[in-house]
Amino acid sequence: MLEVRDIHTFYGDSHILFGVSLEIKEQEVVALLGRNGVGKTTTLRSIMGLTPPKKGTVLMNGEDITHEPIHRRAKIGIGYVPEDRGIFPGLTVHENLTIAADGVGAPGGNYEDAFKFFPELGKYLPSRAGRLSGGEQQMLAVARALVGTKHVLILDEPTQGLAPKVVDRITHAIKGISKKTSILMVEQNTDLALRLADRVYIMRDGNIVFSGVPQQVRDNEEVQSYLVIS
Amino acid sequence: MIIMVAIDPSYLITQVLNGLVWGLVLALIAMGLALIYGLLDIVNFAHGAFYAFGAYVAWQTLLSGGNYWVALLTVPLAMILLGLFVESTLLRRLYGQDTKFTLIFNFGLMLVIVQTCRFIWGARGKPISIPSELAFSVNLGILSYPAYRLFVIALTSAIAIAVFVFLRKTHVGMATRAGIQNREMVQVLGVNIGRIYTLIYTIGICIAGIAGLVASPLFGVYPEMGAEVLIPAFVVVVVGGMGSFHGSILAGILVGQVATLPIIWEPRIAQVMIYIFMAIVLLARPAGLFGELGR
Repeated sequence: MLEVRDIHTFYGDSHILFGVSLEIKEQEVVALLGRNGVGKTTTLRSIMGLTPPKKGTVLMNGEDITHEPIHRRAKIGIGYVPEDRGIFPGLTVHENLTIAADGVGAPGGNYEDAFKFFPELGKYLPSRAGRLSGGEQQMLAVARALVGTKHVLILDEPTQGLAPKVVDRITHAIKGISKKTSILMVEQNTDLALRLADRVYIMRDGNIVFSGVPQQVRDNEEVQSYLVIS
Repeated sequence: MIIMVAIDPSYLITQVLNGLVWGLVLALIAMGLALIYGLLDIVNFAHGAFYAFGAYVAWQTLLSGGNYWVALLTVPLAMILLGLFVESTLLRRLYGQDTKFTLIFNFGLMLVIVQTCRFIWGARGKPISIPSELAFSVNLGILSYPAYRLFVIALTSAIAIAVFVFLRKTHVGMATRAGIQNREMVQVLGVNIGRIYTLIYTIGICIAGIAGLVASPLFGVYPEMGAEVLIPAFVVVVVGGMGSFHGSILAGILVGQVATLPIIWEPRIAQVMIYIFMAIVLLARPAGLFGELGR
């Protein structure tokens, strides 16, 4: 479904990704793991076109979208929640969702799906998004990314900085979402990621150094060494 | 306070109204600057030149046999065409590049527009007379005040309210406010932000031109008029908070008063008062009245 082939991405002159390749199949949950600064976020941003790769290709259902404008990706079914959640704090929850609905071509605020996983958002519709708690903002960010028909949802650290109870809430939602939508997630909480994921990629120094199923990570101490801070 | 008592109240109210006229003209220029800075991240040094260009289009309209009311149509039309042309052929190429490119571009654009006005219409100032329908004074009880100035207050207020409603109530306005807060995310959600850039830039330019038109019967039409208004307009944007629409309106009205009221007591200090006012505001609120730090 979503395929990344040998991408090289730069920030200015610094070379960040050195030929990253990965693939997300239908209804699959894929975790992208690794220590801080190995290029996980850059990989996600490259897929979204926010930092387009200089070399390599990004394919969605076989179509080359490497150099498509950013806004085209939402329309072809890729949702993205950045690490900082990217909500519009000065706009209401309703407005945050309406922009997403307009963006994917469902003007008038057709975002019923958003409430399927987070019904509690309904009561906050007229509130300013900046007034919501961290957990509620994360729910809004995920709900907003799901507006329209999304085939792949990309999540950058969806549980970061959240209370354990809220982490459970988000985890539960991710499981529900993954029944229909493929998920690519970066997650610092390795245990959580291994529980949720069907497959795992591990990055180191801008490269993929491991690809396999969660059990292989649990069984292999060498692979685990890529994840812990030594 | 003792000095206040000594002033004829009708004179004081006249000065307040004059300050309101000047403040609203500044607010029209500043709101375009604020929106263009907030959304496109561009400091539009050419904004004053567009204000002057609007006034010259009004002058040309009168030369060609039209009147003020015809100019109220030709000026916005000319400004929209100019805004669309500049944005789509030139400015668009600089998006995402280093800020210094847009700074240099806009500085150059300002020179080109001002010199073009000079070349076509000459360096000497042109008087534009107040439309005959409004060349009378309205009795406001203790004072009588020129009808044209009251018209300027009404028209500029109407434009400010229209832009406010556009930003609040329309979907495009919503996306504009969202883009000011987080440009990347608007695109991630599927919005083609390029179209919104074109629209906001053109609206900003158009409103600056209309400000030039309404100001021209009051202050005349001359090539330097844009440069003279640009600095006070930047003061308004800074006082209001860079990129804040509300801030630019409120600060425009405040700066109009600060620039006008001191004339009652000491005309010579009136010129510097707005800068002192700006300094005081920034000491109390470093990001301006409605701004957020760390944008």
